[in-house]
Amino acid sequence: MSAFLELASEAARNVSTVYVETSSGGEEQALKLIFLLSGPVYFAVMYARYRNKGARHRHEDETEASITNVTGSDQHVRRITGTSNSSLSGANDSQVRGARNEGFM
Amino acid sequence: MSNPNNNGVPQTPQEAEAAGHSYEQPPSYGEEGYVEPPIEEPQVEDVKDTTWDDVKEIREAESDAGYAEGEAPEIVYEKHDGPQVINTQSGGADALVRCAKCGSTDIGFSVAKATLFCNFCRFEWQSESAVDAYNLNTPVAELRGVHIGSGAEPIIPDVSEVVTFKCSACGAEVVIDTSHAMQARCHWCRHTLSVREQVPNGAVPDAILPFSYPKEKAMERIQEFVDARKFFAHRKFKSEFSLDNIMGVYLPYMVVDVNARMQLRGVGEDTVRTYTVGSDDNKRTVYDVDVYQVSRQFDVQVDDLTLESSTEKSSIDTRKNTNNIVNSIMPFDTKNLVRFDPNYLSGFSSQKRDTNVDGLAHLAHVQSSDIGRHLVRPTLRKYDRGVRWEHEDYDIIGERWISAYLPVWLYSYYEKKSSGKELLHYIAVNGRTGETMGSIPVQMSKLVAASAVAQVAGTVTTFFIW
Repeated sequence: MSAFLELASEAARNVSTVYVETSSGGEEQALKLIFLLSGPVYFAVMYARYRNKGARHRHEDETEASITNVTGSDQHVRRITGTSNSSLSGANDSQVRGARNEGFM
Repeated sequence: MSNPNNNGVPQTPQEAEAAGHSYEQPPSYGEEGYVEPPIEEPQVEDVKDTTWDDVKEIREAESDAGYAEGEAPEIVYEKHDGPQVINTQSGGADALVRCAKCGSTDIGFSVAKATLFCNFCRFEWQSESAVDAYNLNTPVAELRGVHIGSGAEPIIPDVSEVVTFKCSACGAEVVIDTSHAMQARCHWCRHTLSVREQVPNGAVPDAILPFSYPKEKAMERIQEFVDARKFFAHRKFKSEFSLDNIMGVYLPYMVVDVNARMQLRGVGEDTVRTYTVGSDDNKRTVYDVDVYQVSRQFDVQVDDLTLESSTEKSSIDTRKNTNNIVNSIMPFDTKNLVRFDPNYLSGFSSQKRDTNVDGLAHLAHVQSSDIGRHLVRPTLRKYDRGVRWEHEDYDIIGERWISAYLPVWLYSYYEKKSSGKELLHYIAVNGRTGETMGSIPVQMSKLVAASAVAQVAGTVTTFFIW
């Protein structure tokens, strides 16, 4: 029984943490979804914390580097109105191709 | 008779005498009174940008100007299509590395001070900085072509792992297996013999970054890491975990400087207006967007990109190993690399490099281009919906490769799962910065049970709130 209470308190403590962090975002639908999927979300968060499968050296940020002689152009092509896509399809300006580890958990 | 073409200037001693000039033949080489002409040594500054074509032109000009027919020496020029080698050999004789003060070969390494010390007279010293010794502080922007440290040159597969020394103190022959050790004691005179020569088997790197993060602190960091993850840790791991199993290892890396030119072309989008359309039950958010044709050209200078050069550690597959943990504790302060000295290895283990520059060049170019794309992002802030690069040119102008041993405190735990699968878990601490990361085996039954409890709690909360 004490083991069950220990599990429940650990799970409840972590669920409440998720609640506080997400509610600050104000996305009610997302919050509702997280609560409805709290079991799988809790599993994923805890597993990632223990196994750190996604850990990697962030070479793109952590390597000393500079760029010089920057030139370029920004030419307006057209205006699209009423699109429901919230971001540019295929945007890759922040993509990292040389990551040695792309694991999630 | 004077030659009319010489404007009356006498050309021979006889002509000079006839013209009333006194002429004295200077003494030749070997005769009394011979004075050696001054030798003008070229200064480093004068020749630093000289190419082999320049040298050839100079030699041809010398040949044209100074030699009679048939007397010009034959000049053979080496082909230099390949990389230029930075000579990082220690210059000292193999085997006996002596204390500069008393000559003893009994040398230790103090992690706390990051210095070498003589066990006999207690004299302390530090090796010369690799940056200064190998002139690695020349600006990356000035790099042209491929430069490779002699310790990073290709490994020759047939080269024996075993090196035989003649002890210069007593003459005995001592064998060192470089796959396991870089030092050995002479069995006759007890002097310490060290491998310093860069045998092309990957055992001797160009440089080393000595441990400076003490073992006691590394043990604390690992203990804290484990304590914070005890609840779901596998019970067998908890019972078997012992800080005694922590060991210091020098792992092999390549440290790379890259000078490149990058050109990017693509499409960027900027949100003009965000609004909602539709009736109450069918509301949706839509956007008005300006589309731009975007291009950027720039030079990229990457300083000390660090890559694993051991096949075993560079193989990162989280289904089969936890090598990503060791990868994640980078970066190291590679500006503090020193000349390789095997005495830094005493008390630690080391792993030999088994990957050449050719095997890592593609990864170095991909990672340095990642860095370029990330550094140019601040110029794209206008495009809040993102940029899609559709064309990319990345031209390497120059690159410099140095092989190095970097220090890692490592705890390893071998897990054999009930399914029969095996996994080696690492907890690693950067031997310079103390950055810590690890993988802890999980008690799955406990985690699944806790997740079920969380699911119930979440469902109940949802029911009460909504």
